[in-house]
Amino acid sequence: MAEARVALITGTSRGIGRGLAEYFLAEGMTVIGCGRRAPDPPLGEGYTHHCLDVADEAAVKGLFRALRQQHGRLDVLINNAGVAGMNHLLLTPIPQVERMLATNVTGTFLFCREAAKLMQRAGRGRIVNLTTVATPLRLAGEAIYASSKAAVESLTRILAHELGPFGITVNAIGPTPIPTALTAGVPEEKLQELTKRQAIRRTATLDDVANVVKFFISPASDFITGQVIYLGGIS
Amino acid sequence: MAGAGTLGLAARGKESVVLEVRERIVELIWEAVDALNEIQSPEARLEKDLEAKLFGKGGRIDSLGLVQLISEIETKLEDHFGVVVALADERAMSQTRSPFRTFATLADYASSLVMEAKKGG
Repeated sequence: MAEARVALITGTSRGIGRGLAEYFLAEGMTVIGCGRRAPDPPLGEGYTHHCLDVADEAAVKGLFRALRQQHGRLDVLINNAGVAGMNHLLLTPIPQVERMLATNVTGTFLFCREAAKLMQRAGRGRIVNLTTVATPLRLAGEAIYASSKAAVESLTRILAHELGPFGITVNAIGPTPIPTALTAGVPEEKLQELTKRQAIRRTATLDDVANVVKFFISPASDFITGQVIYLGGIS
Repeated sequence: MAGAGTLGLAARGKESVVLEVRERIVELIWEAVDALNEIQSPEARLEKDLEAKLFGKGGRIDSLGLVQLISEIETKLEDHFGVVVALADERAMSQTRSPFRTFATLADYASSLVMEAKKGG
């Protein structure tokens, strides 16, 4: 029997990250997760958690050192950890800007870099980054969040070129709002306004996200890279 | 005189540490070469020859291969010595004589960075 695929997911404490970890575990994959807090309730057998800030280079390097020692390989990276925040430009404090850029941009960059070092040894790998429909929709009130994810989309497209020769694909998925902690602070009418701009007018589910992720990480998808797929018909 | 003798010993001690580090780094470089050769086509495989031209005019490796080799060596240095070094940073790129000319110059450069990082850490 082939050895289980090893997946690393950032931001597994809750929301999409936790959901994807459960989904991968059910598929028989070995899952390494990370986040400031451990998932509560804990995830089952086959899951290892590292408590860290995704933008802390020393901590992230420590995670990868442990990963190299324990598994010696990495098949899939999901850059899910993210910080969102709604605010008008005139009222946005710099610490909020810095926090979003650090987690969403620096964190994604750092995990891509360290994962690619390990994946290039095998000559294959799958990286999936999480973006948002707030970027293509130019949502007022989300200037920094949408900008940070625009950076993630650029990273996705450029890294696809830099890592293509090593057999590593890099893609991104932009979900429409899913009822998670990240959207808990968004007023109901804002969510409805957003849904009205979709081709298919409903909130997303975790299964919608898992479906696209499953496509990106499939071994058969080795010719699919540099793509950003938004849910709900946003383009 | 006794003082001078002690100093001499101390100096030799430091020299032998540097030599030991360099020797270990050469072994790590060969491990990285093995890993790289495994995924290379036969004609692109690298020989473990310290003095062979590596990168640049007459070199055996292209820029993408160099990126892979350097990143693999950095990872090995990190795992073995517990220090994080950037072999291909601006300092390396701005040197008039590139540290990537041969495996020997690369080993020298990596040794100096590891010693510096160990001292700092």
